[in-house]
Amino acid sequence: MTVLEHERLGAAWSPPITGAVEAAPIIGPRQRRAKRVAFIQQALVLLAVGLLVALIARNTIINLQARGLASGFDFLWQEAGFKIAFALIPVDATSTYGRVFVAGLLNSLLIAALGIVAATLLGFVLGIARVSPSPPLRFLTRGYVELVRNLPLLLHLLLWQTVILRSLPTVKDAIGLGGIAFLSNRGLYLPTPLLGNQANLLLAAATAITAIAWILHRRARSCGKASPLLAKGLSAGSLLLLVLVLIGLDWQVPQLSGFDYRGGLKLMPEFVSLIAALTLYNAAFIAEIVRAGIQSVDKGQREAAAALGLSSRQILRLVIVPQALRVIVPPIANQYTHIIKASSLATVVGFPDLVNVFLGTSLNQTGRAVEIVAMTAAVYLVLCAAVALATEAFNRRVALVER
Amino acid sequence: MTAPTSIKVRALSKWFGSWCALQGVSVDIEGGACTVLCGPSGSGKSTFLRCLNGLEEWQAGEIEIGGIAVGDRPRALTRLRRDVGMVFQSFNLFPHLSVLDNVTLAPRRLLHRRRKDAEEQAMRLLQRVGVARQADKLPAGLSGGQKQRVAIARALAMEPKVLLFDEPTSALDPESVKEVLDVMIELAKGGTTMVVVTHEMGFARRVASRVVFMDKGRIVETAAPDAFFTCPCSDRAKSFLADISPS
Repeated sequence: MTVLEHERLGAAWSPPITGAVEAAPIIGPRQRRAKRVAFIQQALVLLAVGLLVALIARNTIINLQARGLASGFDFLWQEAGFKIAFALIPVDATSTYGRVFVAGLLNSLLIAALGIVAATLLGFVLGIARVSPSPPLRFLTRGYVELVRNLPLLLHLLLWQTVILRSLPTVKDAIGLGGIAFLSNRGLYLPTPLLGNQANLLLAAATAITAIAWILHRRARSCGKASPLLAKGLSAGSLLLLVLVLIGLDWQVPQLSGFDYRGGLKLMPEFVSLIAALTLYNAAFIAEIVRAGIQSVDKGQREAAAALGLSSRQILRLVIVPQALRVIVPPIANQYTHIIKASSLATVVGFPDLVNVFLGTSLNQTGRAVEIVAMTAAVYLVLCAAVALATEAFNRRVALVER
Repeated sequence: MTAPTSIKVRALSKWFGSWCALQGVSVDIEGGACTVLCGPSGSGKSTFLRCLNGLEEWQAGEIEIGGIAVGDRPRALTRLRRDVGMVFQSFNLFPHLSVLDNVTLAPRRLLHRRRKDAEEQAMRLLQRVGVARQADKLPAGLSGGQKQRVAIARALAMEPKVLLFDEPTSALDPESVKEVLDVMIELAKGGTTMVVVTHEMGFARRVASRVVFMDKGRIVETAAPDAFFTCPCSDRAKSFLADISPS
């Protein structure tokens, strides 16, 4: 340190400045004092928080013991004894609470995923329409956004539930869709394919060929060419194959037996109204985010692209949206975490999501409040944290690209 | 080589609300030569230039570039803009694309060039304007002069018949101004039709085949540069030149 000081003093007299000047100390006594103070403050805050947590934990344990409640996660392997109206994995009355948890989790994930994808697509379309040069289109989308985003989500949900339930006929008078799918106030019944080995193989082949054709098409388009004949032929061929496979498969068509249809896939009206409400409501917010993002791009960018002769669609796709994404992604991720958490509104309309079957029925039956609340909270925390991490990674990438 | 493209403007009028920016401007711009537009700020020269490729709408009058009317039909306008390159005061490079991609974007999308061909052409152009070494950088990593030279290369990549320059050196430091002007002087020798809005009177004197002096939305005077700078006819031009000359 003293050597450095000495050299700095020397440098003031002698014109040739040495590299030592650059290496002046960054941490001096002032910084050291500030660091010490900050350390003490942070330690105090941490201590206070730690004490609070310990107090709560101690209280909980004492209260649980006083009431003689059992604790632990052993209930997850016990038989739950209730059925679930809609599940992606087989669940029946003999299934364990663990299985119920997984089924509820998958249902919640399904709702959140569908809601996120659909709301994003609709939101982008609406957001781009919000800044379209056509006044009627702008007016209409503006009206949609203002109406939809200013009503409570719960109102949307109940509205759609009522609309769907009231407007559709009973099972007896179900609307037949070509004799293979049926629509009633109990839900939408779809045929499901019975997949054999051969069918699986054909399906995989058709998908692979379509994918190759798509890649060829994209590559041609990226240098502005019409897609090559090979890609066209391939995609036509694979499409034909796909259709043939789909027709040739054994389909399980829903059949009316007793009071309900059996076989095939049944989508509950609760499910449909939940997806509709989540999508329409969040799309309005995403539309505003997309609009703000597009408008944040400098006007000169559009002008420069237009002056080159790019069409307005090309300008949007190649110049405006890539730059708008930097502004769009952080708030849109926020909206995604909202969709994930709002999927728990399923409970209100009686769709068996995680909150409904686990935090609701399972908690009622087992009384393991602490464990079940903690598990449910952990699920939402982990999901939302995953979205936040993904956004951060994306931001880092675009930030690097930018500067 | 085809005949150079000339520009014909007849009775062009443009209002911003109640403010009349252009009051019936008529002028013939010679093909294959460099025309410099000058005048005090607010005289309508940039507005006039932006009308030429339809970036600005106008209310009355006609513009023809190489015999083709600049219209309001989006398709025709988009087609026409391929042949009319433009360089902006604020560069307007695409910040999310590398220098090379900035230059190749339009040729690849509009002229259906293969990536390899487009990149070869872009590298030749970047070499010509002296920024080939920056090809893989993003615009944010460039100096002002480099950015503007990339912008010129980007405009040249479409092989335009007409080049419009909207105060290309006004946002630059003196050293960069020279870099950019050198490139423009080089271009002017090549025989592209150039219309340049600039305050660089040295450039006008050296390169322009004609100087158009505008004031208050009108063309006050059109003259050869020698005549304009030594003895301008109008009093307005005299006072303008007196104001800007470093006496």
